[in-house]
Amino acid sequence: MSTTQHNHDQQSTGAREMTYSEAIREAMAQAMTADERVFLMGEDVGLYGGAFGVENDLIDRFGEHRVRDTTISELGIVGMGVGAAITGLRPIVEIQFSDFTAQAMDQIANQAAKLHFMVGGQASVPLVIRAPGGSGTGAAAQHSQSLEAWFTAIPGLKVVMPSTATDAAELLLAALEDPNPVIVLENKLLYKQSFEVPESFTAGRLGEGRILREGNDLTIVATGIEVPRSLEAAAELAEAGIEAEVIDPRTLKPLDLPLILDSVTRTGRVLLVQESVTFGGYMGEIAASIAESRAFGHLQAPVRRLCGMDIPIPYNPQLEKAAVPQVADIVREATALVKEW
Amino acid sequence: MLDQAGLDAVQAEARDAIRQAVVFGTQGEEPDPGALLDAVYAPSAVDATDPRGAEEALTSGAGLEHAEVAR
Repeated sequence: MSTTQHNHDQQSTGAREMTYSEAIREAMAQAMTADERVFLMGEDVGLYGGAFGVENDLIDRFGEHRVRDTTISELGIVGMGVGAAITGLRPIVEIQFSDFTAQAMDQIANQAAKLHFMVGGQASVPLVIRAPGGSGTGAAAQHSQSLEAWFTAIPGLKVVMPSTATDAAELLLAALEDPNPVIVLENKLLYKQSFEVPESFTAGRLGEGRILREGNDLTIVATGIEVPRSLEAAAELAEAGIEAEVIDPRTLKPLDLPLILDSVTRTGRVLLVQESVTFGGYMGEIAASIAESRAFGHLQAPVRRLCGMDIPIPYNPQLEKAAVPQVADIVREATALVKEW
Repeated sequence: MLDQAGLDAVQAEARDAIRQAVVFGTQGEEPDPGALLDAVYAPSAVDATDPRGAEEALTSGAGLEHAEVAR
């Protein structure tokens, strides 16, 4: 992957360039400046500046009161966030690796996501949970998972998965404006990638996907790190005469299903690409939605999923790479969908 | 009761095991891609990932009569 992703971000005016993590930091600072109710909590987010450096100097700019280092207890971190949210604050809590949300699942699934429902709408939980996921960093099986399907199966929780710096910033701002708990699944490999971004960030819109590249031969729906890989694959496919339309849902829940169905209806072929495992994965939901829709009647080939292998992410770099879809895999599968059907 | 000599022996053994692991990790041969599927599940009578040859069914053409409807 190149160090700079161009043409990837349709919101961008190309006014300036910054990394994915810098964009998140700027969005958090912008929100904290605009609204004193917004504050950060998490392991090492203060003095250390975040495990991946996302928070950096925010503690110097906003003080320990609003950039709070916590104990090593994900359950406690999210639990404090839930408490702060229902009492009127706008907490952003960081889980150092999304794998560690397993420790916090009771607070996420049983408290944050359900409180509004269980008190008959008398209280809301405007909590933002940031959690980086994905493989490719040599962090092995317990620090490399893509667990989005866990969260999209929880009613009451919204799920965001940004693949560009602008989306990471603007969907974070949108999450902060939402009265519901929102989990933002960032990607570790993207943190240091540079993107063209607009002069300033404004809150995006949850539930709005985006066509990042237009094409008529097949639709590729991709999430997270598979979005830039799919765009790179689409460029290669174009050289071979195959025009792929690439869609990034950006928000997994709520999902912009009409955008996907319209595209599939036009192209008649769809390749669904995610880093997470096939079995029980999020792309199975999109596949089922296509099968249940009128778009099904326009398919010229079976829906194809290209996902991570059903194994824990290996430590060895070559095996780690082989465990999840790479650009060549996407090119191969897309070509087969078009040529063999 | 473990004496200092015993402790030193345990420590030396642990250091040696770590040293061997580092040598293996940095100088050993790259694993075969087939190793990706090793040790995901403990051996059992039923393959958890493919109990009835589902992958074969998907790729062998079984069910294609239904796919033809969509074509």
